Amino acid sequence: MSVLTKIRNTMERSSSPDYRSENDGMRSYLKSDFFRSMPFWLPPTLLMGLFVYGGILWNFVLSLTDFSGVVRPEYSVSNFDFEMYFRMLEDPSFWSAARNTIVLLVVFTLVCLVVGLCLAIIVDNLLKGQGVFRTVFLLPFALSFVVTGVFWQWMYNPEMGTINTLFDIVGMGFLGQDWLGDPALRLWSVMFALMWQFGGYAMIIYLASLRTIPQEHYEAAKVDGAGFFKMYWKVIIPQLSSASVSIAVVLMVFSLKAFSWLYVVFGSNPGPAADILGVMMYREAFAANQWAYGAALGTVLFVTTVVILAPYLRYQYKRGEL
Amino acid sequence: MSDQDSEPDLSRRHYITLAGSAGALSVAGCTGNGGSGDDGSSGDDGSSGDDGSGGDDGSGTTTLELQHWWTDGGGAVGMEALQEGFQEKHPDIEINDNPVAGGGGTNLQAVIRNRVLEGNPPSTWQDWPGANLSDYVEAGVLKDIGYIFEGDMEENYRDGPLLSARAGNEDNPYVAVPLNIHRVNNLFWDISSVEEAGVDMGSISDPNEYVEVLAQIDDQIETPALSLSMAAPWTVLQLWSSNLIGLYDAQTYQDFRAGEDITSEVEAALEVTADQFEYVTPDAGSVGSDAARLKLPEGNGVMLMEGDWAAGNLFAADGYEYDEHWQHMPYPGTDGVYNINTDGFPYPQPNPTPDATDKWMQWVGSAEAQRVFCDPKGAIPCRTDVDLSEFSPLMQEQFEDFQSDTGVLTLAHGDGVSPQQGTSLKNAMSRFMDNRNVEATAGALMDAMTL
Repeated sequence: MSVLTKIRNTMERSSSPDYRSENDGMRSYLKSDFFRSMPFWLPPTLLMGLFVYGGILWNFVLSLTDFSGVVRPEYSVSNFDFEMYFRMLEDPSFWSAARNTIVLLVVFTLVCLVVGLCLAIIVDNLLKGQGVFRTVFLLPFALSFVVTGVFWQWMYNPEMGTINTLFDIVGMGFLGQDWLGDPALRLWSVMFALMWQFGGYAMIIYLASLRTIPQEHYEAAKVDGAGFFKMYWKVIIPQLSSASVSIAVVLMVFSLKAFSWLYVVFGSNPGPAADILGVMMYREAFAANQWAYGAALGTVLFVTTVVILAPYLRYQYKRGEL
Repeated sequence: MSDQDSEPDLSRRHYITLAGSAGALSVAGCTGNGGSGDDGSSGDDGSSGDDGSGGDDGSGTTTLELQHWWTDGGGAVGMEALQEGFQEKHPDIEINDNPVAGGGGTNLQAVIRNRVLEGNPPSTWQDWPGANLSDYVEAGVLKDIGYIFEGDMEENYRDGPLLSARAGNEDNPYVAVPLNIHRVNNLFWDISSVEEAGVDMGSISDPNEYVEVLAQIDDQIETPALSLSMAAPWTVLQLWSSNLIGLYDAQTYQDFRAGEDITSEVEAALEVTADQFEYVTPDAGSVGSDAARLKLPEGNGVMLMEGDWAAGNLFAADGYEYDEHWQHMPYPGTDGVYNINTDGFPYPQPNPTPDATDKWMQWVGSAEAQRVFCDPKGAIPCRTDVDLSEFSPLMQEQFEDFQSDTGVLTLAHGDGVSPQQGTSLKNAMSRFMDNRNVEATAGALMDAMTL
């Protein structure tokens, strides 16, 4: 096709109604909220994409190599394989860490929800000193894992720790245990300490939700003859489902991040009784120089987090809150 | 309100969708760049930039960058003395002392690996020589420094530290200069408790007899017989490896290191170790190694199986004197074997200050440097010609043993195992501490040595 023909065709097309309508579309696009708001949302989105999700993707790519931390891996598709993931399946340390991670996730979250709810109901019904108790219960949440790790290490010491000493004082010394040393108790001791730290957080969110429930609901339940427990069980607690979901998600994510607590207390090897995927990932990458294996464990941890968050995000999306 | 009047051409959800698409695009961009940028060797530009600033450029002062984790205790005092001695000999070389504390060296090792990966290592760094350096040797990032060992050093270093200098394998070139040696297979005890229990320490000749003695102490006095930190697996790995040598010999230990199938020997040592667990202090699972060592002067423990760095804690305890309140001997059955844990300095390449690093390595390998460092550190020198007149009697005894003993490289620290092997051994021992499963642990320990 000659150049002249091309120009003639272009001129004909520009005078056609379709072309004018295309131009109008472009103009309205440039005037749209989407285009005009672009300077505000596009840069952070690109930065997030690059530094957060880019890092996650890179971590996955790393897990397909045999990177050991000293020589750069070859990033060619022909060298990629899932060897690290197959190795994981045969590694007893992975299975004990995965089991503990799931137990921690489920039990810690459920216990925190129950404790938080009970505390919230008690504090909500206090006539005096609500502020003081709110602060007392919430304070541990403000402390870092490092502080609470050291704190509980002392508390749990079987010879001079507060817990066993208290048992001795009340004449129940037989209940004293080697809380962190006994493999049968280790994970439960960890969970109890984490519950102590996060129970206050659950309480404060529940308390805020309880305050939004109109007084009429309590009064109506009482008029209908409901007692204290029945009123909460049938009328009030069902209205806290949204808060429960939010708290549960936050607690589950915190449980996956219990690395700092465990690292402070046990170092990089808490033993199969309390090992979790986060600690194992650190150990493999930083102590064993198995960076690709560590990256594979990181990917599994990330997928676990997504699996936990996805139903919540979908729930929020369906409710139009996202 | 105004926001309702404006054209609702895009909902919030559309924004999320579009933002998600943009994010995905940026991720795609990231991976594209990552792929091309990372595989090119030209990416190592950091090294050249740094080389120039502190390097041996022939003009003015050279700055030698040292990284280490000796930031407190005897290690810090020894390091200071080592640097002072170097600067007296080489006033034209400045030292950039750049320590990374914590994690028993893990933090420093993470920093070093990153710097080596970027082609920007320090002049040298503190590390455990031996097989711990095998990854670096395989990657070709450590220099052959045979020229430093020729003559004086090769003549005065014993075989064990020379093997550590070759990253634990005789086929490797010399890549590091070991500075000091700790012995792993030691037994410390509280004299008064042992006498009270009626135990004759000189009569214990192997780990089985040692278990009987632990039982006797447990039976006779209230103080727990064995102080052992079981909060981390490395202390138990030390104990088990000492039991292996004590029950058999140095050759069996070497066979294990070489990956040979010695199932029955490994299982026997595990069974003895499990027997010893019965006599540990009640808080063994909760206390760290420092606290476990201090149980002797506190009167809360009778025996301690530990590396000779533990002597530092005992010497530091007020009113607790060597040979009066506490004593020491090689772990039962291991007399004649020196289980070696060394510290030293590897020589990275490319090196930002090759001439200054050569001088540092020669200094570290000298008798004078090892004298000024090892005394405060509580270790013995790697050289056999060091003047030990100012060292503690304990270290003098250790040094005497070292001259004649068979040296074997430790499994619990780094001289005798690669980082991957070491972590797998500790994983296996960690499981053993929880489940006491001898058969499964023996398999896991031997599998670890084939990695």
